[in-house]
Amino acid sequence: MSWRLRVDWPLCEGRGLCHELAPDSITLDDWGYPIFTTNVPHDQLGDVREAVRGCPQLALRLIKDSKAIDSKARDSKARNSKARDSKEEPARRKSR
Amino acid sequence: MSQFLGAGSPATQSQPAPSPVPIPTEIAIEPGPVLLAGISDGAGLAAHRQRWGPLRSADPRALIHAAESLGLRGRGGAGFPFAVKFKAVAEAPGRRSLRQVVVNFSEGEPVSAKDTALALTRPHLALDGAVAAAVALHARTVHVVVPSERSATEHAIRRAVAERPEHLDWQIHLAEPRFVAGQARAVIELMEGRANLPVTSWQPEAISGYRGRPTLLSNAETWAHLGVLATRGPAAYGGRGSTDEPGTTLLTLVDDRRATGGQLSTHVVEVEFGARWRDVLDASWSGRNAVIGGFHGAWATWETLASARVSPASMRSLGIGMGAGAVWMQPERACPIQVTAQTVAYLAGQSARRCGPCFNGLPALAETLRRVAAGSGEREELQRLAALVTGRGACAHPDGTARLVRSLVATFPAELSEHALGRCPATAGATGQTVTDPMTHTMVLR
Repeated sequence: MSWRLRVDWPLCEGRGLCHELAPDSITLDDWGYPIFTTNVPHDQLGDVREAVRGCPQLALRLIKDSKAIDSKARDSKARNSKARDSKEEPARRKSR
Repeated sequence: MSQFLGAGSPATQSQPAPSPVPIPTEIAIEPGPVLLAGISDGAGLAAHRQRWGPLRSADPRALIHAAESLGLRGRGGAGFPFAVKFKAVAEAPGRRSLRQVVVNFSEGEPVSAKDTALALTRPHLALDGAVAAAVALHARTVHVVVPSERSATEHAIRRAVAERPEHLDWQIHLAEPRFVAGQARAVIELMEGRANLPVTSWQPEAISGYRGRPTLLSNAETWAHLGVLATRGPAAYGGRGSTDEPGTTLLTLVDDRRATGGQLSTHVVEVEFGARWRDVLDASWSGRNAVIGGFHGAWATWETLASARVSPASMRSLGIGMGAGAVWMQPERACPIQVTAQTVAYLAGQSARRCGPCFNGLPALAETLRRVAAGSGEREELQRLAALVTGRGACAHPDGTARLVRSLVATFPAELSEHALGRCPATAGATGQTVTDPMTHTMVLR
């Protein structure tokens, strides 16, 4: 299984806290907005979770990507659940 | 309709750059093989029924099958398979009557005029498609989004909707005059009464669109093709198109002769997929460069066009997306670097100013390109900024802008090298081989 990081760009104000909390996974661009690889390496999940929780704008989301699960596991999962293709990390969320 | 304009405060923003192509006030619409057949009959419902016949019984499976057999893809630019969207709405849980159908005529791209052409000549074909889908999906509401800056479209649609006999709730929305107003999520925002600007999409509109309901939103031309399928059926296409890409497409051909003392003229044509560009384009345009796919598109030299076909797949393999089918024929001796600089300056000003990488990155890209056109030679910086903004926004506005810049770098390497030496090969003679600043048109002294 793999985890994807997504930003709600209109919410992000470039405060840079995510980079402080997960410096190996998240860097900042010329204007202070986060740069990262979409798929989060397993050994960096802990830091990235901290960054998701620490974002003052709640603009980061970690999404469990079931597309990346190996096909056998996905098939059995598809039989057992009505979940669509991705599931969100149950961290705190903000409704619009 | 939304009351917000969404731009930054006037105190912090200078006047945004104008579009290098104004929205056309006059469009030449040429009769075509299917959608644009018999357009001289008029746009009224009676003439429409006489030519197209009644709507067939709307069975969702039959509609999906017809859309699949035609390989119908969205004609707003993204090219997503229509049948996939339709199925997602048809299979979405919840009350069927809450499903929404949206016909998008908003056409924020100034180079494009094909949706306007449809509104003026074939409004009922697009509305037939929407009605057929609404009936098949048991939806009760059909939304039609029209551009506020093209009043002819709005009037034509209001007239056509007033003629419809179906008992549906028709909702007409006026899109704001900006480039990104027609983007799917921006349209949903408008429909929900908020600013007509893109927001982050966590789920497809087909699953969760208007007020979280399954929403079948597509471009007006897509709906017109569904209208053909729902009345006369796939046979109406008469086998036109290729095996891989059956059917026809609308193209907007903008013939820009302003730099040579001429005018700008806009033509809308319907051609079959697989047609040769050299048969589609006027023979007298030979030798001129073009921007294909609108301002979010790509450069094509005449050499490339002369041997290519009107085929999204084969154009993609040349690195050129066809977008919504807008073709901007450049004037002879127009400098592609200057034209791109003016276009990117306009696109930077069209940012909704909500996503940091877009509202910071596009002006930086525009400014770098302005310097490159004036001879600074910063090609690597141009490529770095184009890569930096890509994929980092709620909508594809930064991606599309970067695409045009990357295509400039890929298509005109020699011209860029000449510019770095202070020479402009395109305008040589006119300005004595000296580069000029694309925004002020002043000569750059080196």
